[in-house]
Amino acid sequence: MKAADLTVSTGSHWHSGARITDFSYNTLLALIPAIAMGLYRYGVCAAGVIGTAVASAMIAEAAMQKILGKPVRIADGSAAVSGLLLALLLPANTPAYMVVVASVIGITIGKLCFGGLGANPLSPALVGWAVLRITKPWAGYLDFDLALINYDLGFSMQYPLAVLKASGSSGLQDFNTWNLFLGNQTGGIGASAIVCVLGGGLYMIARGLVRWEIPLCFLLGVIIASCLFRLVDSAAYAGPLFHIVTGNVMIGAFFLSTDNSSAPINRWGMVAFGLCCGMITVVLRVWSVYPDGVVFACLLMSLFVPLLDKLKATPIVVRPTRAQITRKTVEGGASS
Amino acid sequence: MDISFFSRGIKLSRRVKPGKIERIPPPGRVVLPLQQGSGPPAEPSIEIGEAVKVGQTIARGASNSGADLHASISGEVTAIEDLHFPNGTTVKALVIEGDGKDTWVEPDRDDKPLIASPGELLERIRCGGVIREGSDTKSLAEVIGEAMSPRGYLSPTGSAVAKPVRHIAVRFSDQDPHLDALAALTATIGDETAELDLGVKVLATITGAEQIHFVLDNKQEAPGVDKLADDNDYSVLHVDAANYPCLSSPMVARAVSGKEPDTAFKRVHENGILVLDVNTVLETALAARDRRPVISRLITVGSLAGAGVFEARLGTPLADIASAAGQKEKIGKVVLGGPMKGLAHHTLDFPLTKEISGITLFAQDQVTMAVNDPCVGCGLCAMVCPIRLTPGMLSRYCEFSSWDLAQEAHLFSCIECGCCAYVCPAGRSMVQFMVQGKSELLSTRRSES
Repeated sequence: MKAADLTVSTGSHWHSGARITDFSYNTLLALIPAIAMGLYRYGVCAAGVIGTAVASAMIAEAAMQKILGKPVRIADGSAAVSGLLLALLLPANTPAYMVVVASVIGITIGKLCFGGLGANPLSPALVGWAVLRITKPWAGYLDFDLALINYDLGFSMQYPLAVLKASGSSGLQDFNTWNLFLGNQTGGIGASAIVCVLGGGLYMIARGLVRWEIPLCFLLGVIIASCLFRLVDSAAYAGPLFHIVTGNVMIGAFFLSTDNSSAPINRWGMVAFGLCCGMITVVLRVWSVYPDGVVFACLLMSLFVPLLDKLKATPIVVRPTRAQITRKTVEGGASS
Repeated sequence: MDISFFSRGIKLSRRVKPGKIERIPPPGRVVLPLQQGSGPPAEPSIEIGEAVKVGQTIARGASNSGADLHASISGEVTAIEDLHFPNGTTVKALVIEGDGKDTWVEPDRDDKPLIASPGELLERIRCGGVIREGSDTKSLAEVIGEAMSPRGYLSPTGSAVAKPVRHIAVRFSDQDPHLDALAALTATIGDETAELDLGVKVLATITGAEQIHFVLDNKQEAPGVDKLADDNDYSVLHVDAANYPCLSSPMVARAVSGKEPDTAFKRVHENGILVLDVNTVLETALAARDRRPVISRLITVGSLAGAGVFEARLGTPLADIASAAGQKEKIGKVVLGGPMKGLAHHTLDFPLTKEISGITLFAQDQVTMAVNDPCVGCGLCAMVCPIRLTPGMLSRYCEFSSWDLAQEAHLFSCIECGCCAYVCPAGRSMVQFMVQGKSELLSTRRSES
C-alpha cells in the first residue's frame, strides 16, 4: 500500500448521499401529473409552450455560462425546472417568441447576473413571467379569457379570478369549489390542475425536499386574509376556499415560493415568508389591476429574504440563561 | 431519568451490542510520541540505550500539570525519531525495541487513596499520564487543576477561564455512533464497579464537584452502573446516542446542567462542567490507587470487514491493529477516530497514541469526495446544527475570505461535529471552511497582539 493512495480530508468522512440534483429532478417528477393534465386539456399547443420554455431556459443558461467563463452546469436541472414552472403558468397558446423572451430574461437577468445557482434573490421563472405580465403589448396574451377563447373543454371557460374581479363574489354562482379543485377551470397549463399540483407538492414534502412550513403558511396566509376581507363585506369578496382552489395559489405555495435560494432558511423566517406571501396574494387579488397576485407576492417577499433570514434561533453561545445572569450579577456584586 | 433534550443533529445507525474486547499482544517495537494532546511536548527523562520496564516513566510532562509518558513494553530505548502527525506537525518520538519479556515496574499500591490530599491525587493523575480526550485533548491534571485555580481571572478574550467544577458527567458510550469501545468497556465492567466508584470519588475530591451524572445510551444495559448511581445518589441520564452529536461534550453539558455552555474555543469545562469518558475515570482510579500509568488503549476498528474493539499497547503500529481486525481490502482512507469527527491520516504507519479512540478504514470506493457545489440555501445545515448556527452562510463567508463576518456570525462556537457536511446536498466541505476560518482568524489575532 502506497501512502499516495489515501485520501485526506476533514470530517465528516461520511455523507448522507443527498445531491444538489435531488431537488430539481424530483421537482420535474412531481410536476408530471400537472403536465399530463395540461397536455390532456390543451393538446399539442401546451406541449409546444412547455418544450420551448424548458429548451430556451437550458440553452440560455449554457450560453450565458460559456460567455461568463463559468463551468457549464445545466445538468443540475435547475434551469429546466425554471423553464417548466414558467411554462406551467402561461396559457396554452402563448406565442413561442414570448415564451423564449420570458425564459431567457428569467435565466439571464433573474439568475446568472447574480452569480448563478444559489445566488439568485428571485426565482427565475417568476422574473420571466413578471416581464411578460408588465409588458403592455403582450399583456393580452396572459389574459386567460382572451387567450383561451377558442377552447371549449366542457366547463365554464371564464377565468374564475377575472369573474371575481369583474362582478364580485355574486358572480361566482357558476363555479363549484369541488370542480375547481379537480382542475375544471381555465388558467395556466399546469397551474390550473390544482389537485395534480397539490399531489406533486405533497410528494416533495414527503421526500423532505420542500419544508412544510412555507406551503402550509402560504395557504394559511391566504385563508387569514380572505377571511378578513370576508368579514368586511361578504358580498364583494370571495371566501378562502375559492381563493385556494383558483389561479396560481396551489402551485405558488408548493413550487414557486419554495425555490431554495429565494426563500428563507430558518423555520420562523419560513413561517413569516409563507404567511406574508399568502396575505399579499389576496390583497393583490382584491385591490390590484391584475386578477391574480401570487407571482408578485412571491417576488415581493423574496426581496425580504435577507431580512427574514435574521429571524433565526440564537446560537447556544450568546444566550445566557437566567441562572447565568443571576450568578454573574452575584459575582460582580461580591467583587466590587 | 429519561430526558430527550436533543432536538437537532442527525440520525445515524448505531450497533446495539458491541462485541468482546480483543487483546493485541505487545508488539516488538513501539513508537511513543512526546506530544500528547495540545500543549508543549513532554521532556524525555531517560537516555538512549537505557533499559526500561513496562510502566516506567520515560518522559516528564512539560509544565507543572503535563502528563507523563511511560514505556508500554519492556526493552531498550533505541532512538528518538521524527513523527508526522495528522494535523501537520512533526513531533519527536521515543522508540523502544522490546525484549519480549514484558516485565513490569514494581507496583506501589495505596489501598486508601481517598485519604490523600487533592494535590497529591492530582500529582498521581499527572504521573499516571491520564489524558482527557475529546475535541481538545489535554492532560487531565491540567484540565481539573485549572478548574481549581482562583476565580475571577479573565483571559484576553474577556471570558473567565477558571470556574469551579460543579458537575462531572461520565460518558459510557462514544460520541461518534460508529465507535463502540466505551460501550464494550461498560459491558465488561458489569458488577465490578469498585474502580469506577473510586475514580469518580477521586475526581470529586479533587474538583469539589457537587453533582455526578452518568450518561448512557438508552439501549445500553448496565445494572452495575445503575446500582452504583443509586447507592451514591448520582443521576443517570439515558440519551439516544444514535442521534449524533448528543454525546459530545457541549450537548452533555447542556443536558446535565440545564444551561447552554459557551462552546467557543472548545472550553466547555470552564462552564463548571467536566465531561469525561468512562475509560478516563477508570484510568484515574488506577493511577490514584495502584499508581498504574496509562500504557494501553481501547480502540474501535471500524472497517469493511466489520468492527471490533481492541485493547493495544500505546505505540503499537496502526497497521498491526488494522490487520488484526482483518482488514484486507484496498484502503482508500484512514481516519483516526470515528467517521464523523475523526482526523484523516495519510498513512497507517503511525503508532497508537492516547488521543486515538478508534480507527475507521474506508475502502477506495467508499471514500466520499467533497464536491463543493455552490450553496443553494436549502437550509438543511441550519436545521441540523446543534449549536443553532447557520453553517451555510458561515461556509460562504469563509469561502470568500470574509473572516470578520464569519466571526460575527459566531464561527468560534462551531464544535466541528460535521452534521452540516453530512447533510449538505451540494457536498460542500463545511468543516474545512470552518477550520480554515478559525485558523485564519487566530493567526491574525496572534500577529496583531
